Amino acid sequence: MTIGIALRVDALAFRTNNMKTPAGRAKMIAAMVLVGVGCRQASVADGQGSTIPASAPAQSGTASRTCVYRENGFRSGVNPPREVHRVEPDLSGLPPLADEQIAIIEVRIDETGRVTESCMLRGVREDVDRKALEAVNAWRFEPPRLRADTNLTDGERLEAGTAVPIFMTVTMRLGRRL
Amino acid sequence: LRGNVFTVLAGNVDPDATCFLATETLLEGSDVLPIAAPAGSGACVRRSQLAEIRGRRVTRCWPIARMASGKEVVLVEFERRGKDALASLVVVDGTRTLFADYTAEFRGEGQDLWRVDDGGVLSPRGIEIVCVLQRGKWHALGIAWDGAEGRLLSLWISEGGDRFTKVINDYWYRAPS
Repeated sequence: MTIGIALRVDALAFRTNNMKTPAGRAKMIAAMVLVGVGCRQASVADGQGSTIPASAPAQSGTASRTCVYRENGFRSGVNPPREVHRVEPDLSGLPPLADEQIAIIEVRIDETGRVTESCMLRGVREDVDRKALEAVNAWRFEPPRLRADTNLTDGERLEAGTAVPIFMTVTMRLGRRL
Repeated sequence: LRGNVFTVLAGNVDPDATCFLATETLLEGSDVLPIAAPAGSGACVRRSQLAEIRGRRVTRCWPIARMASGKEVVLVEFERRGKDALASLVVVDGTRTLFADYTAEFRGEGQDLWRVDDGGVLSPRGIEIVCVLQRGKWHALGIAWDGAEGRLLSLWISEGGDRFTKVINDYWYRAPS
């Protein structure tokens, strides 16, 4: 069994009152890659109104609940979190999986690197998902840090991750280890 | 403003490029398939086969990308059924056909359907295959879709069968000037 993590890419999204001005649409005034801020595959329309495509988002997996956390600030120059301790799900006693499958779990980690919140983005099967979530909650991460060389406070290095809680997409492969 | 901006430490990324960030463990054991521009009509010549799989006539088809492994991606618009509109990005190779479905509700001629201000017309313009990963039967497909007002970014996964499921969906808004 292998467990992997994918940081989710998010995008800056903000609105102005004249967003319907055709001439203005072509100009991107801000565009940057952000780390994911919650299980938003089920809430595409949340807060973004008419900026959303008319098509409805497809449903995926067995999302067990919705994470609602969102970044409340903007930080430039961030070292992403890194896993330092993984706990494999204990699937003993469960009916076997037909194939290698993938569950995707989004976790929130605090400034100490502990998982404080998790939610299933894409599940495999209810019993397996439950075990996977239990395992992920025991993971430890090196918390995100502001990079000293790009820190706006004259390079001062902040205490590890104190101000940068980050959601991650945790990809868990359930099956044999390759 | 909210979120985090990361710094590219190695390699190059085009300005304003859309990226998925992944740790090495996600990529472990997966092949990242090189993506190239489509050649000719590509798998659109097999539109009758695509129609047969879905039981729905194909009204339009555009080649989007091809991968070195012989896979191709095409955009297919299927015949509308009442208010039920369906388009798919389809990964086609010699053995499998995988559909990433975009559904929409038809609200009248000329009305927005797929994207804001699209006038109900589907277009391949602005659709980009950001990444394709394969690990045995497992496929991941990263799709960016530009519209008049912004870019939709989504990650789709397929393990078996002929469908992708959307796992992550986010949005990159372009503000007017």
